[in-house]
Amino acid sequence: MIQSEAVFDTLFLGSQLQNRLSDFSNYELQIFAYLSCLLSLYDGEPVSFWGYSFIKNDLGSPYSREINESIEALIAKREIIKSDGDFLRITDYGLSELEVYSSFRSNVSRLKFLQAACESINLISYGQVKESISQEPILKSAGLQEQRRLLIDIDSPAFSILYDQFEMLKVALENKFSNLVMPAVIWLKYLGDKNLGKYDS
Amino acid sequence: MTLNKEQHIAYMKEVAETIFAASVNIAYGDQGLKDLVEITGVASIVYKYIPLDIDYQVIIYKAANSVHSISKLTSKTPSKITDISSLAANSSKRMAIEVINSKEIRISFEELFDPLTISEESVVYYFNKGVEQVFCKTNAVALPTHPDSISHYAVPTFKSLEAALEHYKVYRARRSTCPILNNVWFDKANRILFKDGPEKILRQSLYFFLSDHVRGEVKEEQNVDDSKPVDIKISWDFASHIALIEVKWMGKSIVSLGQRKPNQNMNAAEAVAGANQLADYLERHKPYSVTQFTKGYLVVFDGRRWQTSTSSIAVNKTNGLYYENREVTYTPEHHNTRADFAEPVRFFIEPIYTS
Repeated sequence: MIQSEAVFDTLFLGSQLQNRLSDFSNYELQIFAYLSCLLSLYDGEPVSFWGYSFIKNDLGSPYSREINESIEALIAKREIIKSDGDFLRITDYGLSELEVYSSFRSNVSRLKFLQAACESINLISYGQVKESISQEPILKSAGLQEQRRLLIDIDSPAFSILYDQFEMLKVALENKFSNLVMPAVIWLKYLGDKNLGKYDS
Repeated sequence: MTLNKEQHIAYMKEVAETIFAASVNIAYGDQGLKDLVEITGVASIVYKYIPLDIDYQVIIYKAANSVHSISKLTSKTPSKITDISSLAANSSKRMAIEVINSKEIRISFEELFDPLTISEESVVYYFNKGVEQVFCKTNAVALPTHPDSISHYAVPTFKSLEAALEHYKVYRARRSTCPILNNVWFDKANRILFKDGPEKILRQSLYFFLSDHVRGEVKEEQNVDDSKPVDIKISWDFASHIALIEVKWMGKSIVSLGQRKPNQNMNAAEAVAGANQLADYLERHKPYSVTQFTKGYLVVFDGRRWQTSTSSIAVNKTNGLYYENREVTYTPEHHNTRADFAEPVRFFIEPIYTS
């Protein structure tokens, strides 16, 4: 069965990404859905809030079967079309459906996370967002393991490291920012700089 | 070195101080941040349609009140635009843009105003002849510069790997302008000899560029099978199309000037061996990828100089550019005999020559 949160996220993230990048890919949707999910955890929501899960794909990136199924279903309904090879676009019909779904109470509560994830590419570059996400503790740890497993697993050591980072970030930001996009870009930039070895000496 | 909690927090604070959006948020509050997101969103769309260059002047802002509306700041009636792509037909190099909402902007062509006259209340972005700033009240905060683009909002992204490699060749490799790549030289002042073991730096330079610019999943050093890695792997649409990149280099590497022999002296034979190695990788990759279309790319960094030795500290133009147009002859020509082998790409890196 198609998961309603994943359908909404696919349409919302797709519309935001195509505003910024002209179109979007399955991979890009999954990356931004995963970032949105992490931002909900930063904001204090429980793991169950997100409604669907992610695993690590063969190259170590986040992948949600629910998002994939939503894309296929929305293509079948002509709410999404293939635009340039494997790239996708939301159709006018898809955008009008998105307007309807956006008023559902269950979706309103997710909007700030989805929005902050997409707005991050207005403030740091698209490439920086993509590269930094691969450096967050859960994906980084998953990249070292062979088997596919749930990424957001509260019993995993990487999950504790992620929460520790979020706690440190909250201390560092001293409640200065109420819009989630700020902690998002500061955290992403920190992860990117850390990966480049800027804090090694 | 493992950092403790306090050090991590200190670094996060440091990062927060370097991000211009944080300064805007602190100066103008949440509305200012929202305005900045709208302004920068418009900037990235506008820059898709105008040939932004060093001599352009572009103001983009969101009016905090009606006094700051563009019709009150400029003498001519501004143009109302709902389709930004129409700017492609405009030749003006000076424009002030008021963002009304996500679907409408108003533009004054050829007539600008001083951003400081409104920046106390309104968020203003200003591209002024190559310098890019966002105003925070009376302070102009410079945006980070980018090696590939004149503007933070005109950084190219590529769907095609071939186009990305071509861009890298011209804008990053040719004059060693990539900051990572520029660390590969024994002496950056002449770019004649590589440092010992340049592979890692060359690979990293290309990897970070591709990761930053290609709209696919880019990973460094993925194992093709249990034994040998390829250097970079890129996947589009979750592995239906995969590119495997093998990085090789040509030139001499040294650890000290004037040493008896170079540590490595790589020539065309190395590139040919790389092509054979890649063809072999592709063969062995097949059993793992029945549902994927995989293509191999050989990328060769060429730092060869004619008539130079381990003690060379200068090279003239003739010798420095001797290999500029000398392509490698590949035998066998995998790129002509296999559909899964792209034509090898050579990045010739210019030395800094004396005459």
